[in-house]
Amino acid sequence: MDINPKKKTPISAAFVTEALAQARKSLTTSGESRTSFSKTLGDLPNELMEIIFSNLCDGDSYPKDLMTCRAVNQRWKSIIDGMMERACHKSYLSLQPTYQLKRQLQYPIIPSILTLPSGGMDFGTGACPEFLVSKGRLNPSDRLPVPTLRLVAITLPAISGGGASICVVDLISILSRTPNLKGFVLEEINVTKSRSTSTRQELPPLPELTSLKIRQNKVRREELFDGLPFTCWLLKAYSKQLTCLEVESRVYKALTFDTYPKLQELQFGRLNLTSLLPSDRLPIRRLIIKDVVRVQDTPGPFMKLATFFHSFEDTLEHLELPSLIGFEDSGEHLKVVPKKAIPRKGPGIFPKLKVFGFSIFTALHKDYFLPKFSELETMEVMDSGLELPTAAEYKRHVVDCVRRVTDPWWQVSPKLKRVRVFPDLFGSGCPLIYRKDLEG
Amino acid sequence: MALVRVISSDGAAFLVSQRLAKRSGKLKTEIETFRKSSDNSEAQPEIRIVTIRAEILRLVLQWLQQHQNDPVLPANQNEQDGRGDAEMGQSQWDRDFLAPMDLGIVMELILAANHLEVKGLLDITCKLVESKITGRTVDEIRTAFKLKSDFKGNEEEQTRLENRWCVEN
Repeated sequence: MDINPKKKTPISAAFVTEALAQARKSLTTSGESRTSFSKTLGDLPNELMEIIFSNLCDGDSYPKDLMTCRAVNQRWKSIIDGMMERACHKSYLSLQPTYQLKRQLQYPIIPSILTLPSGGMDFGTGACPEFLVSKGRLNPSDRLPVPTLRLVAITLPAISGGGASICVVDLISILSRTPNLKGFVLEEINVTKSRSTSTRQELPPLPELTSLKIRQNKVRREELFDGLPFTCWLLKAYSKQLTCLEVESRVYKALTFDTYPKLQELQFGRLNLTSLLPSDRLPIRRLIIKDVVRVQDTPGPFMKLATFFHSFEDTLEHLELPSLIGFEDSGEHLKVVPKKAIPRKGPGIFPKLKVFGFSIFTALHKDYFLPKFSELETMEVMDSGLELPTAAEYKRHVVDCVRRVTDPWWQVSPKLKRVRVFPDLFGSGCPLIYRKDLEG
Repeated sequence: MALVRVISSDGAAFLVSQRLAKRSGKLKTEIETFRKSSDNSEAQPEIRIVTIRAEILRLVLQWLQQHQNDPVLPANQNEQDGRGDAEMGQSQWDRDFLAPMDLGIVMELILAANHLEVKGLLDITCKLVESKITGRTVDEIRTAFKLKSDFKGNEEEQTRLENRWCVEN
C-alpha cells in the first residue's frame, strides 16, 4: 500500500539526507513491517482515547455515539464515565466565576429552571439551597446548565436543585436521563406545570434512588399531579425504596411501614404537631426534627411528638429534637396531660440510642422524654441557656494557658512573633496567639 | 541551515532542519537541552526516538514539512476557543495523506504525534478514528477495531439499558 498522499510531496534531499540500510528495508517492505508493528486501538493510552471520545461530543449524533462507545467494553465504559464525571465537576466549578451563588430565602416567581450538576458533592452535607444569580439577576432557563446535565446525566449520583422555578415536564425529563441517581434534593423550588399539555405525569423508575430531600417548595394549592399534591406525588413514586427522607410535616401521614418499608433516616424540616400521627414499625435509626411549627392549642400535639418518636424506640440510634417553639415557658400545658397517656416502657427504653441532641427542655419535658438511655454515647446540647464564656473570655483563657506552657521561651526569645496552637482552639478565625496577646 | 539528526527506534537517521524539527514540542525541547549542555554551538544535535520506527517517523516528518508554514497552535487550543486544529486546518492534503492508511498505521501515528507533541497531526488522526466510530452500532465498532466485549454477567445488558434514553431515540 502506498502511504503517500495522492499529491505526493517528495522527500527532498534537504529534508532527509540519509537513512540507514535498515530503515530503507523497513520502508520498502512496509507491508511486512506494518503487520509486525501494527497497533490497535487497545494500544492507545487513556488520555488519547479521551481525545477521540471528546471529538464525539461535537458531532451531530451526540450523545448517541458517546453512549454507544460506552457499551463496547469495560475499558471504554470506564474512560467515558470518568470523562463525564470530570466534565460534571468542571462545569460546576466553571460556573462560579460567571455566576454568583447566593442564598435566597424568599420564593421568586421567575420563569427558569435550575439544576446544579454538582455530582452529588453538595448532597447530604447540609448545604443550603442556592440560587444561580448573574450580576444580581436570576438566569433565564436557556443559560442554565441543562445541556451540561445532559452530558453527565448518565453518571450523576445526585442532583441538588434549589431556587428558581422548574416545570414538571423538565423535572421528568431530567429524572428520565439520570438512571443512576441515588440522591435527589429539591428545595425552595417554584413548581409549575403550565407547560404540560398532559394531565398525567409519570415519573421514571430510578432503582438506585434511596435519598430524597423535598422541602420548602412552592406549588400552587390547586395544582395536582396525577391527582396528588406535588410532594406526595414524588414520594408515592419512590417511597418503597427510600432509606433517607427529609420532608416537611404535611406528608408524614403517609409514613407507614407499607409505604416506606426501608426508611432508616427521617428528617423533618418544619414539623406541624397538630396532625402528627404515630408511625409504628418503621425501621427508623436516625430521626432529626429541625423545627416545630408554633402550636398554641392544647397539649395534645406535644404529646403526639413524644408518642411519635416512641414509635421508633427499638431501632433509634440517633435522635435530635428541636427547639420547641411555643413550649419554652414552663411546660404548663403538660400538666393537664395524664402521664399515662404517653406510652412509657421504663428503664429499657431506647435500647440502641447512642446520640441524643436536644435544645431547650424544662424539667417537665425531661420527665416525659428522658426516662433512661442505657446505650447513650453522645449528647448534643444546643441553645441550652447555659452561660457560656464570650469569645473574648474564651480567648483570654486560652492565652493564659499558652503563656503558661510556653514560659519562659516566649519571654527569652525576642524574635518570637506568634505561637500556633493545635488543635485550632479558636476555629478558623484565630488559629494563632501573637506576642502582643502574650505580653498583654 | 542548522540541521538536527533524528534517529528512529530501528536506526534510521533523518537529517532535518532545526526550524522544521522545532514544530514538534518534544524535538524542540531536546534541541534546546542539547544547546544548553553542549560547549560547541556549531555541533549538530542528534535525537534518538526509541519509541517510533522509521516508517512512522518519516510520516510525521512528512506531515510537518507540509505544515511547516502553519501557525503554531497552543497545546490547549481546544479549551481556549472550542476549535481544534482538525476543525481549523484539515486540508485536502491531510485527507489524501491519511486516506490510504490502515488503522494500524493510524494508531502508530497517533502515538507518535502524541509523543513528539505535534498537536495538529494528533488532532487529524484522532478525528479520523472518531469518524470510523460515528454512526456505528456497538457490534460494528467492535468489528471495525477488533475489540471484544469483556463485560461480566449482565453488565453489558445493564450498560445498554443505561444508554437506552439516548441510543434508541
